[in-house]
Amino acid sequence: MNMMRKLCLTLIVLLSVLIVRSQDMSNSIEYSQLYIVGAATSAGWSDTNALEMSKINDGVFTWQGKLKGNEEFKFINTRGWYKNILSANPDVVVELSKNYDLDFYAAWDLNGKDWKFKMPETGDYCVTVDLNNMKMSVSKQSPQPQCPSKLYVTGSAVKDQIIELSDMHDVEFKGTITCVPGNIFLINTPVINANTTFYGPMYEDVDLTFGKGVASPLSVMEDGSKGWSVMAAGDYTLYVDKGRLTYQGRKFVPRKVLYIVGGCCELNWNYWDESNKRFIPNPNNAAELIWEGELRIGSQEEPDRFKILTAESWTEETFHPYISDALAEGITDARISGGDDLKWKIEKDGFYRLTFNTKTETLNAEYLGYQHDISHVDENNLASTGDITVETFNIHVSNGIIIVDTPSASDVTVRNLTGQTTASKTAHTSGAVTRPLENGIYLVTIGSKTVKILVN
Amino acid sequence: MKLKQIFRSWKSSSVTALLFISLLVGLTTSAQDNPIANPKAMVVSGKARFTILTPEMIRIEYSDKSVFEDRATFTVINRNLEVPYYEHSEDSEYLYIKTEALSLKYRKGTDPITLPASSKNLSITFSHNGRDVLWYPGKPDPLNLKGTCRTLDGSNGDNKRAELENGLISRSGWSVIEDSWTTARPDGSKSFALEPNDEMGFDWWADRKDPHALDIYFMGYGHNYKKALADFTKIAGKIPLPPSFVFGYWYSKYASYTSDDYRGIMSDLSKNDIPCDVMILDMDWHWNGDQSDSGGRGGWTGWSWNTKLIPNPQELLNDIHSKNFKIGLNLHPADGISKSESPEYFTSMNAYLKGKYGNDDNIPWILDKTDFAKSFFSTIIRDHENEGVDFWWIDWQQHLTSPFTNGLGETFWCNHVFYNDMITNRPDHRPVIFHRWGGLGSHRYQIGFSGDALINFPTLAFQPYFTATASNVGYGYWGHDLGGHAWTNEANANNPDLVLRWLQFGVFTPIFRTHATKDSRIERQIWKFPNFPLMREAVKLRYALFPYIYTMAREAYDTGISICRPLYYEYPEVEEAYAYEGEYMFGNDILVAPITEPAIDGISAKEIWFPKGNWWSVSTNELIEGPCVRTMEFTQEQIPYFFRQGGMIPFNPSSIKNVVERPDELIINAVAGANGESYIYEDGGNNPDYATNYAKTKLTCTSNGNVDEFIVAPREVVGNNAISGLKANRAHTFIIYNCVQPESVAVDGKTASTDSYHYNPSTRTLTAKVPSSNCSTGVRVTIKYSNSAIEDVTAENRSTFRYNRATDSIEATFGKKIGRIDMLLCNLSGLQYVNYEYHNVDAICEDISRLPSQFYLCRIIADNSIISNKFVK
Repeated sequence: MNMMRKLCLTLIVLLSVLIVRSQDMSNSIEYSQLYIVGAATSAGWSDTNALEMSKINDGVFTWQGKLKGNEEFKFINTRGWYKNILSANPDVVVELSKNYDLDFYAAWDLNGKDWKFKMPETGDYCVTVDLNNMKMSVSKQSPQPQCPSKLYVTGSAVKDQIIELSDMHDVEFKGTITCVPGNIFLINTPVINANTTFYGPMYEDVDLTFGKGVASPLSVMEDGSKGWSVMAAGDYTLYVDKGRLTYQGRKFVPRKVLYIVGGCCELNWNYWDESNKRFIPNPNNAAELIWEGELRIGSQEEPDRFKILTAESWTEETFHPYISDALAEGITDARISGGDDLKWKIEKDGFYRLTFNTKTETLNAEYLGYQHDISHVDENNLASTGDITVETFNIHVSNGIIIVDTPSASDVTVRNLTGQTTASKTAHTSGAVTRPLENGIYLVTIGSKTVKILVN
Repeated sequence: MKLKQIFRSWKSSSVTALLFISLLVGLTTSAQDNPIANPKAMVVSGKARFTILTPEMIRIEYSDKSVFEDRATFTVINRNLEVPYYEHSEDSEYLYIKTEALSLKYRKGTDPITLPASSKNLSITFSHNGRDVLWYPGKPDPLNLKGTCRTLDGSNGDNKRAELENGLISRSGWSVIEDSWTTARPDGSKSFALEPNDEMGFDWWADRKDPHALDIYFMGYGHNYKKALADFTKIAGKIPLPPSFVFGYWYSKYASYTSDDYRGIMSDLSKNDIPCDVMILDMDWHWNGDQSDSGGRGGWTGWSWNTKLIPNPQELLNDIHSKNFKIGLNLHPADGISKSESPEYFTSMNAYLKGKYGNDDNIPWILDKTDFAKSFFSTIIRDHENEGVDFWWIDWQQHLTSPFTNGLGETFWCNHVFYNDMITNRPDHRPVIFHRWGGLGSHRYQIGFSGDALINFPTLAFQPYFTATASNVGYGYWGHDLGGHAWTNEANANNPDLVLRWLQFGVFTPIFRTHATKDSRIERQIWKFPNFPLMREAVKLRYALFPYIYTMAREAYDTGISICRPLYYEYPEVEEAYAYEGEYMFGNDILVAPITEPAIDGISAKEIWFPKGNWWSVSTNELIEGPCVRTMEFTQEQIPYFFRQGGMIPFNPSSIKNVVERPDELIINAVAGANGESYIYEDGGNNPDYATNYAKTKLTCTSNGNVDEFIVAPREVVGNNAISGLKANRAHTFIIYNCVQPESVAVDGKTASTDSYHYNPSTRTLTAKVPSSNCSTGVRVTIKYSNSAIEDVTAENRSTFRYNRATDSIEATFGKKIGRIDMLLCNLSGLQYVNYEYHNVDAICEDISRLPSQFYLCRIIADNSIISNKFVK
C-alpha cells in the first residue's frame, strides 16, 4: 500500500514536471525530433503519419526516401501542426545540394507563410535539415555501404596496430581499445591491401566519443587519412551497429554506481525506494562494481528477470544482455548501445554475487547457493559476541560455537554464505548447535527466522 | 621571431594576387564595449566576412544579402579589440587567413555551411598538443566541457546534467559561440541585436539585419581555458562585481510570514549569534493565496503588499534595514498587472499607457515594449524601491519566450531590463538582480538563483560540479537553495546531516542562502536543528572568508575567471582534473571537496584527488603532497577544504556580524614552506565606480631555508574618489600552518615578544599577532626556526597501505617509527572485525585470511593521522 502510494506520488511529480516543462517549452523549437510531411512523401498531409527523420547530430536530421516531383513537402517539429519548419521563401523548387533557408513558426495560423518545397522530379533523395542554422539541402540518395563480415580498428591512436572488433551476437561489432592522442579508422581486412575498404565517421575528424544518442552512419572513405580523432589518451569502446551501420564511441570512465532492478529483486521493478539494489565499486578494480544479495523469482511482472540501471531512472542508460532472457549465471555480455529492453533471467532463488565490469561490459553472476527466506535478517544484530535476541530466540557465540536457546522446540540450521549446511538440529531447545566454526558469517535459521551471525 | 617561423613554414604555393599583412602596432582597445570592430580586423569576401578578434578567435559571418551585423547582440557587445597580427591571402579558389594560432581556409563564393557538415567550404586548423586539429562549421564536439542551464528546478540527483548547455571551452581545444539569429538557445530564444535607446537610457532589442545570416565566433584556444574565458569577457562584457552584501548569509524561506514573523526571525538570528546580511521576502509579501486569505486579490503574480500579513510594510522594511539587512522581494511577473490584485498600480499604468495594452482587468506582461517598461518601472518598481527594497528576485517560471516577439527570451530580457534599469535609475547603487541563466551573455546580469532542487544527498552531490561548470560560460554567481528546496521524504526534509553538509558546501559557493518551499514540514531556521552549533560554525566560516571571497569576486571581474573553478582550468592535461568533478578550486588558493554523501556513524569518508602542489588540510591539520588520491575521513564538524601552499588567504575575525563591516583586524592564513603571492581587494562595497576606484594590498610569502617571511605590502589605492569605509589602520594576525616551533618571530625586523605569538605543536600552527598599524606602511613578519625543520611532507603522506591479495594480508608502512598505531577493520555495515594496537613500529602486516570475503573499510590511526582505505577480499 505504502509502495503504491509512493508510486502514485512519483507519477504525479513526474507528470507535473512534464506538464510544466511542456508548457514552458510550448513556443520553443525542439532539437530532438523532426518529421517530413507533405504530398511529396508517402505520409501525405497527415501529421500522424509524418515520417520521422534520423537525428545525426544535435539539431541535425536526415531522411532518405522517395519524393514525388512537383508535390509539396515541409517539416514539422512534433506530430502536429503547431511547430512548423518552413521554407523562408515561397514557391521553392529545390536544386540538389543547394542550401535553403528555413523558418520556425510556433503557431496554428501561419499568416500566409506556410511555404513549402517541391522537387522538380520524382526520385530517391536524401534530405538533410540543420535546425541550428535553419538550413535544408537535398541530394540524390547514395547507396548504403554493406556491412562487412569482419571489422578492424587501426590508426595512429592505436599505434598502427590492427585490432579486430568482436562480433557481439550478430548485433554489433564492439571493441575496447587503448588509445593515445591521434586518429583511428576502420577496415574490413586484417591487413591493408588492395581489397581493403576504409570506414570512418560521417563527420570528418570527429572525436571518437561522438555518437551517443544519435544515429551516426559509417562512411566509406578513400583511405585512412581521415577518420576519428582521439583527443585524450585512455581506454575507449567502439560500437558499430551491424544492422544500421551506425557507430558510437565511449571513453571509459569508471562508474560509481549501478542499480539492479527487476521482477526478481527485493522491490521488483521499483528502483526509487530504498532496497538492496546498489552495486558498490570494487576498490581493487576500478572497472568493476559488485552487488551481493538475494534474487527471488517473484510474482509480478517479469518475475524472474532483471536489468541494470546506471542511475535511479528509466530514462538514463541501462545495461541489457544481447540475448533475450539470457541466463544470468556465469559470464554474459552486456549491451549499453541501444537495442531492445532485454533482460537477464534467473532460474532459482538464492544469493548471488553480481560483478559487473563496465570496461569489458560483462556481467559475472555467481550463484551463492542459498535459498531461504532471510527477509527478517537484522543487519544491526550482526555481532560477533554477546547475546542476540530475535523475537523469542536467543543466540550466542562462544569460542566459535553457536548456541541457541528457544522457548519451544524448533528446527535449527546453520549455513555458510555459500549455502552449505554446517550444522542442523531438529526440535532444538537449548545449547550448542555447532562444533567450533571457522571465522566467518553464518546464517542461522530457527523455524522461519534467519539471522546472520559472525563467528570471530 | 616565432611568427616569422610560422610564416616561413606556411606553404601557400598557389597564393596569387593579394597578400595583405596587417601589422598594427600601438593600437589598444579604444572605447569600452564598442560593437564595431576595427576595420583592419575585417576581411570581406563576397557574402562572407571574417573578423579577427584575437589570435585564437575569428568571427565568421555569411549573409546571402551581404548584410553584416555591426550592432551589439545579446551575446556580444564589444568587437573593438586590439587587432591581432594576421596574414590574409587569396588564390583563384580560396581565401586564407593565418593568425599566430589559427589557419582559416574559405572557398570563395560559397556558403560556409554544408549539409551535412564538412570542411568543403570552410575550415580552420590549428595545432593542439602536437596534433593538427580540424574544425568546420557544424562539426560535432562531444568533448565540450559544458556551461550551465536555466534552472535546477526539479533537480534530482544529476538529472539536470543533460540540460547543461555547451560551454566556451572543450577538451577538443575549440568551441564556437553561436550568435546567429537562427540558432535558438535551449529555451527557444534568439540572440537579437541591441541598439541604444534614449527613452530607456540603455540598449533595447532590435531585429537582426539578416535573420538568416550566419554569425559565429570560432575559439581555438587549445587547453588555455583561462585565456578563452578572459577573451570571451572582452567581447561579451565583464562579469560584474556584485555589491558586497550579497556574499553574506541570506535568510530565505517560502512561507506566509507576517511582519512579526520577520521580526522574530531577525531576533532569533541575533540571539543565536548568527551573522546575516540579507532578508528575502518570498512571494507572499504580495497578495496571494486563496480567497479567504487575499479576499480575491492576487495569485502567482502580484505587486501590492499583502497587508493582512504585513499591515505596515514601510515600518517593516525600516526595521529590517535598521538591523543591517538588505531586502530582496520575489516577483513572478508573467501574468502582468491585474486590476483586482493591484488596482492603484493598474490604474496608474493604464493611464500612462492610455489603455494601449490592457483590457478592463489586466495589463499583460509585455516587457518587449519600451512604453510598458517605462510605466512599469516608474509606477511599481520605483515605488517599492523608495519604500526600501534593495533588489529584486525575478522568478520567471512561465512561457520562456515572448508571446509578442518571436524568439525574445523572457529570462534573458528580464535580466537585461531589470539590471540596466537599476544602473540607469539607481546610479548610487551597484546593480544586482537575482534571477536565472538566460543564455550566453547572462553573465553580465548577476546574480543567479538555481531554483527548486529536491532535498536529498544525490542532488547535493550534483551541485559542486554544476556550480563550478557554470564558470565555463562566466555565470559565476549561482546561489542554491541550501538545504534543498522540495520535499522528498520525511527522512531527508530536515535531516541535520544533510542540511549541515549542504550548508558547509554553501560556504564555498558564490551565494550563501538557505531556502525551501512553502511546506511547514521543512525547517530552514538553522537554530532549530540539533547540530546547530556546527551549522553556525559554517556560517561563521563564511563570514571569516569574506575578504578572500570578495577579492576573488574582483578577480572574476578583472579576468573572467569565476570564483568556483573546475580543476581543469589549472591542470588541463591531467585526467583526474576532469574525473574528480565533485571537487573545485574556490578562488586561487582553496581546494574544496564537499561532503555530499550521508555519514556512516557520523564519519564521512571521501576520496579526494590532490593536484600537483602541496595542500594544507585545514580540518585535519596535515600537509598533503599532490598529485595523489587520498581517502580521508571527516567528522561532521570537519569540512574538506585545503589551502594551497604558497597562497595567503585573508580572513575576517570571528567577531564579524555583517560582511559590510570593516573590522580593525585582518587574519592572514598561510602554509609555510613555499613562495607565493596573493592580494586583498577592497572598495566601497556598493560603489558603482568600482572599476576605477578601489584598493589592493599585495601579500607575499617566501621560504628560504629556516626562515619564512610573510609580507603585507602597503595598500595601493586606485582612483581619485574616496573609498568609503576603508580602515586606515589595521591589526594583523598571522596563522602559519605546517611549521615547527619557531626560534624567533620578528615584526618589521624587530624581534617580537614571545607572548605575541603562540605555537601549537598538535596542529603544527603558529599564531602571531601584530598590533594595529597604518595600512599605507605594510607589515613584515619573519619567522626563524631552529633548523631547516619545516616539514613539507607529513608522515602520513609518506605512508603506504595495501591489501595484498596474494598473501591475503594488510600491509602498511609509515616511513618512520610511529609511537602508537591503531588498526580497525570493519565491513560496510560498520561491524568491526579487527582492532589492533601497535607501538614503536614503522610497518605492520596482518594476515586476514580467516575473515570472510566482502568489502572492508580499514582505518589506521598512526599517532594523530588517519589513513582510510576500502578494499574487497
